[in-house]
Amino acid sequence: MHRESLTTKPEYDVEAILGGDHSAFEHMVRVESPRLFRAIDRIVQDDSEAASLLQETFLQAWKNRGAFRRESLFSTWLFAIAINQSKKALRHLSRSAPLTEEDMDRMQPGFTMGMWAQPVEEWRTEQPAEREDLRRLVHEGIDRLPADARTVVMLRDIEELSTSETASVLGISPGAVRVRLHRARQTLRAILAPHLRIREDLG
Amino acid sequence: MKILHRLVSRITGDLSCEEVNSFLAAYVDWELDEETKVRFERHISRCVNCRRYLEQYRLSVQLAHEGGIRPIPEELVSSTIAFLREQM
Repeated sequence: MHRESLTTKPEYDVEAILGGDHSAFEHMVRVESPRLFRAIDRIVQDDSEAASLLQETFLQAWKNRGAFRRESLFSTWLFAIAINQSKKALRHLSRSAPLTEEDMDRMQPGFTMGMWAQPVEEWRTEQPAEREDLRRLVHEGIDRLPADARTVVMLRDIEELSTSETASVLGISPGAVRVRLHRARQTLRAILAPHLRIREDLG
Repeated sequence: MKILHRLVSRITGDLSCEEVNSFLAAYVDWELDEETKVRFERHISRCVNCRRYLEQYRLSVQLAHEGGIRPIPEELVSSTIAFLREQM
């Protein structure tokens, strides 16, 4: 599943924005709003809060455009602002995710001396008709993840930022992105497992 | 038996199941170096547990991707731009 970053070709004129061109900025707002809104909404889980954070993100970007260094993509820089704003807001919203880090620990596979502690159960083939239900199940799972795990899944697996872009947005190393993402994906797999495993009912 | 298996793996340079698991994210995202990829795939071809887990992991990632692009509220962009025009 090779992911090309969607952010490699900016569809707007970054130099004009940095030079203070209002219409170039507005055009960028139109282009970037959908995925920034989805990203923010994933974190705060409240549409109206997300809408006001989106406004605040763009306003901060406009005011601080002089601080944008051309080392990263403009969109990466925007994501970093959006995520910082959302995390700050989340603290005030005092919303606790139903899954804790300890829950996630329990949902990771176990190994003894390098080998599986338990055999991996076979899953049945999913029926085309249930795809939508499985999708919903995974997305409910994403919404239950702790904020850090939810954020990395949203950036990598939903918005398709590359590992290095995600690392840059979150201010962590690419290795740390991979570890965090892997842990979150394994949790989602564990959420799916009871629905797809073949039960050997001998009774 | 497990100890013997582990010893054989060490000698032949095969990856353990736990090592394969730790490379899963990089493998699925095409970020493994060629040499590790070859060792990873050699292990997967022989190990039913790791093969199953890889498939299940992949399905989880696909489902996360598929349902993620939700439509945004219609008036969101226009209200954002109206807000920014006042502030800029």
